[in-house]
Amino acid sequence: MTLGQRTRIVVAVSCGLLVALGARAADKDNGKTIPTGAKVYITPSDGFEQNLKDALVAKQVPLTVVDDKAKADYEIVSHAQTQKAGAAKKILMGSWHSKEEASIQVNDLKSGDVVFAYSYHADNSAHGRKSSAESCAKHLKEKVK
Amino acid sequence: MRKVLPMLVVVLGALSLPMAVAAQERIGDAGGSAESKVIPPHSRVFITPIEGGFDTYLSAALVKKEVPLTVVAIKEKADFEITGIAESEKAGWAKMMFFGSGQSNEQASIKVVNLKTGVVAFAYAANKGSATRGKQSAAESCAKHLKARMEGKE
Repeated sequence: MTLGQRTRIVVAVSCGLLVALGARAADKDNGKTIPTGAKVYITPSDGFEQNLKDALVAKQVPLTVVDDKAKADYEIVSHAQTQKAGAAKKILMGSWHSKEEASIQVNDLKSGDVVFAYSYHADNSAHGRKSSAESCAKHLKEKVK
Repeated sequence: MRKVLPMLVVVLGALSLPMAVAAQERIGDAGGSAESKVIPPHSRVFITPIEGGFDTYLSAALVKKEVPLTVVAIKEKADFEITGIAESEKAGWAKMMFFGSGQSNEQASIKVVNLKTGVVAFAYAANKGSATRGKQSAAESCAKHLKARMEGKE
């Protein structure tokens, strides 16, 4: 086998590997992204929608929040739960911080597909709902391109 | 007599064959054929709203565990539907004092129904006595087992 043939084989194998890796990455990502500047409507969720609005601004997520669902491209459905530290937690665990749980889902209103979903959990949240909303916003920002 | 006996055996065999096939089909229908319980990769699933917002946790878990399914928000566009229930029980003072654990007890169960055939393709129940990450743990457990089922590992 000549040096030229070996080079060709190495190049072919490398290309094959790159294509396979690219396909896997695309498959993992589902190929779904949210375009920059898209209009999103945040469905009311026990006040957490306000935390989310603030977090989108704080984390500079390039999305436009609208109050009218009919004008939106995407919808954010969320759920959040806060559990304040009780006497037992304060005395026995020595922690005053609340336990936070939150999850969000972004639906494409045209296709009906869920383009992003994320859940958050913190046993001792430093800033309560603000922390969970900002975590959701931070991860959502990665999806906006 | 020697000539009649083999002929009788052949005739009886020929008669019993269709009956055996019919019986096998009945068994297959009663147990649910393996084919009808298959969840093909990239199928579209709709998650019915679950009390406590568990549906959004489940949606996030399907993404995190890389389950090869497409979640849709409109039931008419889905091939499968996921329904379920979830329950959380926070740690009481006794659990904190005696076990030193402030983690909640999580219970969840889901079932995946094929919307065309109505067959329950998958069902799973998760029980976490001390869930490290609350509902997220229960949802991810469901997603993990669903993925394993789809990959034929369960």
